[in-house]
Amino acid sequence: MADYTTVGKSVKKIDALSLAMGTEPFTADYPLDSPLVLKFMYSDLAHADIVSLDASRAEALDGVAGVFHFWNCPDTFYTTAGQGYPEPSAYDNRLFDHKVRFVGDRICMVAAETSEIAEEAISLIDLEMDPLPALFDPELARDPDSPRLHADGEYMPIPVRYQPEENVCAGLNIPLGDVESGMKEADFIVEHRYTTHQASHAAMEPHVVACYLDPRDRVVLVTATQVPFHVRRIVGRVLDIPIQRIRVIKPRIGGGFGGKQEVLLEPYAALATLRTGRSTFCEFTRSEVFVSSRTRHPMRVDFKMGVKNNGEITALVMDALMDSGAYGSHGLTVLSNAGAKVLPLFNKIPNMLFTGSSVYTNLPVGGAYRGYGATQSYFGFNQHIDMIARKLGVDFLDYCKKWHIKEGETSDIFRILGEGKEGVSQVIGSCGLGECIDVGAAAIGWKEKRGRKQRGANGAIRGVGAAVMMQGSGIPKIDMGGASIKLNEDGSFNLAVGATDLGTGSDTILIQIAAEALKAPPEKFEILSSDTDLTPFDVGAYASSTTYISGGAVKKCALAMLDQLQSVAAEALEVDKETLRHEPECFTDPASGKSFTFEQIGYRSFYAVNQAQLQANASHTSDVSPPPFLAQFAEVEVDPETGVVRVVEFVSAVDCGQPINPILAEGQVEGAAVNGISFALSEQFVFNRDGRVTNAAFGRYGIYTTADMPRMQTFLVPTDEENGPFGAKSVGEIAINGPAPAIANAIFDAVGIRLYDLPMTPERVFQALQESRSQEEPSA
Amino acid sequence: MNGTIIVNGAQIEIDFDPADTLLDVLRDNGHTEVKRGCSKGECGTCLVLLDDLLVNSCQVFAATALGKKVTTSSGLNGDGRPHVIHESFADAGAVQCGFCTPGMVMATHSLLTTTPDPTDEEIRLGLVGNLCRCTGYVKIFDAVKLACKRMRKDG
Amino acid sequence: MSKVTWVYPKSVDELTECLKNDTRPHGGGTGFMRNVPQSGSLADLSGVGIASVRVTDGSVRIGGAATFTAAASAIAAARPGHIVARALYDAASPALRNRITIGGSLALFPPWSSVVGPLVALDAELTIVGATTGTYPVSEYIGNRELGAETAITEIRADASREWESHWYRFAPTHFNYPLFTVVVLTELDGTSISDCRIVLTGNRGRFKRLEAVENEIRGTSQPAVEVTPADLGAGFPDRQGFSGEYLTHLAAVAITRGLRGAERNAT
Repeated sequence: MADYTTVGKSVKKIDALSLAMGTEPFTADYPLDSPLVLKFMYSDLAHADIVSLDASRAEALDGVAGVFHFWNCPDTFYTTAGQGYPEPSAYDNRLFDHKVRFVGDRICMVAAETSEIAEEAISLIDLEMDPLPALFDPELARDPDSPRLHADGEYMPIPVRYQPEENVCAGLNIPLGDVESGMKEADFIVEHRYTTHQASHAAMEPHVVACYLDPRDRVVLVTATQVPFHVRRIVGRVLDIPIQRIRVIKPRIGGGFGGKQEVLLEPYAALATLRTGRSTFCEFTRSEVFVSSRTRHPMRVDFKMGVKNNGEITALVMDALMDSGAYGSHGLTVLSNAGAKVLPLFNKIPNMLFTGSSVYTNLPVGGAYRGYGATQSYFGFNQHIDMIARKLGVDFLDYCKKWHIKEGETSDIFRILGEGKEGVSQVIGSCGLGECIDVGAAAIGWKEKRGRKQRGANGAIRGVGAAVMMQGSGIPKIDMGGASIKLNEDGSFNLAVGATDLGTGSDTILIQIAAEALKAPPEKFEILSSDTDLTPFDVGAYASSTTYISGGAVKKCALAMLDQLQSVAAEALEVDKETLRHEPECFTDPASGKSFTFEQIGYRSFYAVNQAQLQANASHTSDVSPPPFLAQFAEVEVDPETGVVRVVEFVSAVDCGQPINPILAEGQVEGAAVNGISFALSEQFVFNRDGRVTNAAFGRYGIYTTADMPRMQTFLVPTDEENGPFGAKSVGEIAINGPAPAIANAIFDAVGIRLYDLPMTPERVFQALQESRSQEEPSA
Repeated sequence: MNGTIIVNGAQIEIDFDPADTLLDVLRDNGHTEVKRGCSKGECGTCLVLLDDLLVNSCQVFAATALGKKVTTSSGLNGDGRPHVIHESFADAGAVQCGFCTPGMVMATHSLLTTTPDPTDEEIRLGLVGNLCRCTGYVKIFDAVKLACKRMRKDG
Repeated sequence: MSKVTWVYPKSVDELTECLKNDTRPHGGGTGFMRNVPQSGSLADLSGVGIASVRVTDGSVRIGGAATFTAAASAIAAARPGHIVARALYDAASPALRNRITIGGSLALFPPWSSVVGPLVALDAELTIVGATTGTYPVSEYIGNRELGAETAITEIRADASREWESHWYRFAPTHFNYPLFTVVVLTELDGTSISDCRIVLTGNRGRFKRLEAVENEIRGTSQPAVEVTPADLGAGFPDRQGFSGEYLTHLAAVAITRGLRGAERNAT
C-alpha cells in the first residue's frame, strides 16, 4: 500500500457538526417568498380512464392559484428515471395522463396558498373515472387476456426491445457458449425459483422541491436530488424551456439510496412557478413517499445450474421476470444489472444463458434502489451456491474461494452485457474477496458455529450463513464527472464538483483526494458541489460512481492545478520546473534548499508577476468498472415454534480498494447491511385486493430500529485498484446485497429449511418449517 | 390563536391554527433545525425538549405548549455552540445525511440525563423512536458511548 | 382549517362542565393528531390535576392524564417488575411515552395499546366524569363505547396486593412497529402447579379477550404440562399487516403457553 497523508484517514465529515446541530439547510429549510404549496390528487383505482375532470369548483376556491391536469399541461412523454441521455428507460410517463395505472398514480395537482386549501381544493375536483381491469401478477403480464397499460405512443428512446402491446417494457437474451451441452456435461443439476419484493428507500427526508424565478425570470430549483444536471435537462425537455434558463441547486440531502435519482417533483414545481410567477414548494408526506415515489423492483429469478462432481459449474441458466410497476423507470437497466453484477463473479462457468423481461403491472413503480438488480439476483444466487456446496459436501466458503473471479481474470459477461447495451471488456485489477472471506469467517466464528445447531432460549436454534458478491464502480464509458479547482492567495483552494453528496460524505472524500494530490491539508479546501450554474457537470450520485468517477476527476484536476502551481514556483525560484520537489503546501528546490509556498504562489499570481487566476478543470470517465467485493456473514437464531428469526450477529468484510475515508466507508457498509437485513426479514409492502398499499407508514412498514439491531462487525480489506483514485473502488451499494442470502443460508444451517421468497417473515419461516415437518412425518 | 413559547431561552410570540403542531410553529418561526420526516411520531427527526421532557414536536399541539420552554438541537448547549453530544456524533462518524441527527442528539441527551451510564440495551431502547436509514446505527451507538464518556469526564 | 377551539379546565368540576359542550379531553397523546376534530372543543387536561400516580401496598392509582413514562416510573420504583410498568416501558418510544396518557390509551384503545391487557388482567377499575359519571371495570369501559362518549377518565385503580408471576408479550415485526397483538399472562404458583392464573389478549377479533375458560381449565395444572392451542383462543385474529389471522392466533397461543410455563423469555 502506498503511504498517504490524507487518503486512508478518517477525516471528520465537513458538514457533520452543523448537520448534528441542525443548522445545515435542507431543501425544506430554504426561505421562500410566500410560496404556493403543491399537492397532488391521486387515484383510488389501480387502472382507469379519466373520462372527465372538472376543476372549476376547486379553481373557484379562495387561495387556489391553479389546478394542473392532462388537459392543460404539456403531454410530452418522458421518463422520471433521472439517467444520462438518451435514457435507457421507456418514455412512458407524462406530467398527467388521461389514464391512471396504480392506486397512488397522479390525477392532477393543485397550487394553493396553504396545504389545507390545496387539500380542500382536491376534494372539490369533480371526476368521472371508468375503471379498467387491473393487472397485479407480473406472470400474467404477457397473457393476451391481460389489460394493456401503455398503448398511447409511449416509446423507448434507445434502439432496444420495447413491447408495450405485451406489457413488456424491457427484455434481454444474453447467451454465452452452449448451455444445452453444458447441462449434459453436468453430474447434477440444481434448479430453483426465488422471489424478491418491493421495498421503500425510506430516506428520512421525504422527496421535496422548492422553485422560484430569479430576477431575470430564470427557473431556480432547489431540490433533494441525486442528479441535479439530469434534472435540469429533463425539466427543460418536458416543459420545452432552454436548459440555459434553468438552475438546479442541491442543498444537503436527507438520504437517497436511488429514490432521489427519480425526477419526480421538479417538473411540476417548475411548471407551477412558470404558470403562476410564484415560488412553489412541494414536499411529499411519508405515505406519498411509500406509495407514489419509487420502490425496489420485485423480481422472480429462476436459476438452473449444471454441476460436475468436481465442483465445476458447466452451465448456468438464469431467467428473470421483473415487475416494473405502472411505469418503466430503470426497467431495462435494473434487469441487466441483475445479471451483469452477478454472473461474472463465478467466471469459470463456460456456458450461460440469461433471459429476462421487465413487465408493467398496476402496482407502485419500481426505480433505482441501492444494489440495483444485484440485490434481487444475489438472493437466489448465493442460496444456489450454498445448495451446490452442500450437495458436493464442501464448505460454502471454500467453494466460493475456489471459483470466484481473481485478479488478472476476466468474464465474457463484462463484454456482452452492459447497461442497456453491450458491455465493456475488463480484466480484474484488484480482488480481495478471498481475504474478505477469511477475515469475516474468523470474526463470526464460522468453523466453530457452522452446522452446530446451538440452542438458545425457548428452544431456538442457531445457524450461520454467508454470501459473496461484487458490484461495480460507475458505468464504464458512460458516467462522467467534472471538477474544477482554483487557488486563493492564502494558499487555500476552492473545489467545485458536479458530484452530488446525498449524505454519504462525498464532499469530504473528494476534498481528501484533492488534498492528497496537492499535499495540502483538507482544511485548506472549500467545496461547492451540485449547482448547475456554478459547478462542472457530473452525471450524479448513482451506479456507485462518485468516489471512483468523480474522485478520478478531482484527482486529475488537482494534478493539473499542481502543474500550474509548480510553474509559478519555478518562475519565482528561477529554476527548472522539473527540478522542484513537491512538499506539503510548497515546492522546494533541492539545490538551494529554497521553498516557495502555495500562499506565496497565490499572492504572486494574484498581485505580482504574470498575474492570473490559477484554475484547473478536469473531467473523468473510465473504460472499466472495477468491482468492489464483499463477503457477509449472518448468525441467526430461529424459533422453530414461531418462525421468528433473530439475527444475532452480522459481519461484513469488504474490498473497496483503498478506502479514502475508512469511517465513512464503514458507514456505507453498515448502513447498507442493516437496510438489507430489514429488507430480508421485516420490510414489506402489504397490498389489499384493489392494489392499495395498506401499510404506508414507518410504524407499519418494518424498517429496523436500534432495538432490532444484531451485533455488527465491519472490516475493510484494502486492495490497490490501479484505475481508481489513489487505489479506490466504490463502496456505496454493495453491502445491501448480501444480508438476505446470508440470512437465508443461516436459517438453512439452523433448521434445514430453504426460504425462496422475500421477505422471510416469521409466518413464512413457520410455514416452511411446518411443510418440512409434514414431509418428514407424513402420517402425523 | 396566539401565545408565547420560549425556544432556546428566547420568548417568541406565535400565531397559529388550533390544529397546528409544535413542529409547525417551530419551523414557521425559523427553527428549521427541527426536521419533519413523517408527521406521525414514527421517525424521531422532530424531537425537542418540552419543559425538559423529550417529545415528538409533530405530536404536540401548539395549543398545549403555550408558556412552555422548548429546547431544540441547536439550542442544546445554551450558547449556540455545539454540545458535547454533537461533537461526539461528528467524531464517531455517526452523521451521514444528518437528517435524523438533531433528533438523535435530543434522544441521546434525554437518555444520558436519566441514565448517565447506559448499558448497550438501554441505548438501544433509548433511541428506539429514532429511525436512521444511512448509518445502520452502529456509529450512532459509538457516538452515544463517546458522549457518555466525555460528559462523565466533564461533569 | 380546523374550527376546533381549545379550553383549559383547571379542575375536575370545570372539566365535567366542559364535557357537556361538545368537548373532548386531550391528555397530550397522539390520539387526535391524525384526526383533529373539525368542530367543538378540545380540553387540555394538563391543568386538571389528574396526572398523579400513587402506589400503595394494596393498589396502584393512576390519574387519567398520567403519561406512560410517569406511570411506569412510579410503579417500577415501588413495585419493580410490575406488569403494568413493564408493558408501559415496552410501548412506543421514550418521547411518545412522555406524552401518551393512560386515560387516552384506554379511551381510544388502539389494537396495540400496551395498557389494556395488563389492566384487564388485574381487574382494574376506572372512574369517569361526564355523561356517565361513575366507576366501572376497565373491561366494561373498553367494551362499551357509550361509556367513552362525552366523558373523561380521571383515575384508574388496579389491585396490587397479589404477587403474580407476570408475562408480557407483544408481537411486532420490528420493535417500533405497532404491535399486532399483546398477551398478558399472570400466574400464581404453588411449587410448579398453577394455583391461579389470568390470561388476556388484545388485538384479536373483538379487540380484547380475557380467556376465562382457559384459566378455569388450567388452575391446578403443573406448569410444564400446560399447552394452550389456537382453538382455545376462540375467534382468534383477523389478517393484519401481511400476517394471516391463523398465524397470529398460533403465535398468541405459543406466547400464552410460554407465559404459563414460566418461560424465561418470550418469543421476541
